[in-house]
Amino acid sequence: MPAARRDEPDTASLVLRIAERQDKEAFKALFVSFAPRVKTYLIRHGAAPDRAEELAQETLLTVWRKATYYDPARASVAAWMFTIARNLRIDTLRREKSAVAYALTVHEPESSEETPHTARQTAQEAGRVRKAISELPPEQLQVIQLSFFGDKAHAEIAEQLCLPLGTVKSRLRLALARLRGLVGDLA
Amino acid sequence: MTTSPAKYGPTKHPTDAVLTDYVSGSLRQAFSAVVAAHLEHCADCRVAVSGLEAIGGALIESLPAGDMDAERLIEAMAALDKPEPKRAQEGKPTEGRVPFGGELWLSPGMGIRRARRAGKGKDLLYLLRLPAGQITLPHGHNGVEFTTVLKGAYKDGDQIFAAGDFCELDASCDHQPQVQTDGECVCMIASERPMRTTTRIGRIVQALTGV
Ligand SMILES: [Zn+2]
Repeated sequence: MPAARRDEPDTASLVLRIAERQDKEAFKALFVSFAPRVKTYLIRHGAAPDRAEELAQETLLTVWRKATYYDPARASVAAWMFTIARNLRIDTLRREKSAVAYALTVHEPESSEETPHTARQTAQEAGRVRKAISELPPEQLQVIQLSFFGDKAHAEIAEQLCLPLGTVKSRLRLALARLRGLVGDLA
Repeated sequence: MTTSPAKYGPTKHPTDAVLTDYVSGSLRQAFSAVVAAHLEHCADCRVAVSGLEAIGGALIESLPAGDMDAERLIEAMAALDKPEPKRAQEGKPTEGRVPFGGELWLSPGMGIRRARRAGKGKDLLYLLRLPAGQITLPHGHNGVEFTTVLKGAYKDGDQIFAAGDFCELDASCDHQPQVQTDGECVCMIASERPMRTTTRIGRIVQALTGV
């Protein structure tokens, strides 16, 4: 098995330890490896440092409470953490609760036949995506980062960068084409 | 497109840019709801969304770690044995949907239901029900409009939009869609601000409905 860059299979097993036996040491390890990055994510979205820490803490507590819902074959821990942090961000920072509840119902209970992956494949993919992100051309990386960390839709990103919307969209498309090819059959 | 789309899932999907905005959380509430309605019908886009979430996860991992107050971990550890706070319970996924108001009757077989809360600003979110064969009033749009067909089908120019299909229009579009003749059509629509009506009767309808 090609080694994932970081300890990806281990983060999944940490969540499983929480799910199976409320393992507090596993929680601690997850907190240490994710909370500080989730804090940075929230700060990039304009949260004040204190608020970002509170929400990062809440993100990890949500992982603790919902650990039994986590399916390592469906998503990497990082991807799951991303959706939790994003939903908390939208709920709390934007106070637009009902749409989030709506969006949440859509892709949580997913039939497994659409993603016939093993936990290990998912973890390996996560490693490949990380690597591919680090190798994106700078102008594509910029658009991807602004897309995910900045609370701006594409029209606003184009304005911010003083680029035509079509250019922003095509950079996004190119970046996604590279990254998605690595995430199973999502091409 | 020549076969019945219902059997194979929707044929008209949100663009990558729209799905990315949806996944990153930068779409406003009304627009997000219309994308979510498409996702309920579309396994392909659900897979695409999972892929984008994987990218979001990888991006978070590639961020530099912020300085966390050590107290945060201690507080979190202490919270583990406590029951879940009420606020978090409310945030749980439910079968709940965007609440829509009662139907405002427009004409036989035609009605509109505005969302009770469409989020910030002047965004509109509504369900529009039109009878079989109905030709809509000619109109244009002042901003972006998202539509997901929930039931039935309509024709716009030479394209047919059937149940589950998604359509994004911008301000440059003037059109006059027509409902297919085999049944009524229900659409969920989000728009940035009221549409531009090009007829007098259109302005009267607009005055009545706020759409
Ligand atoms: Zn689709």
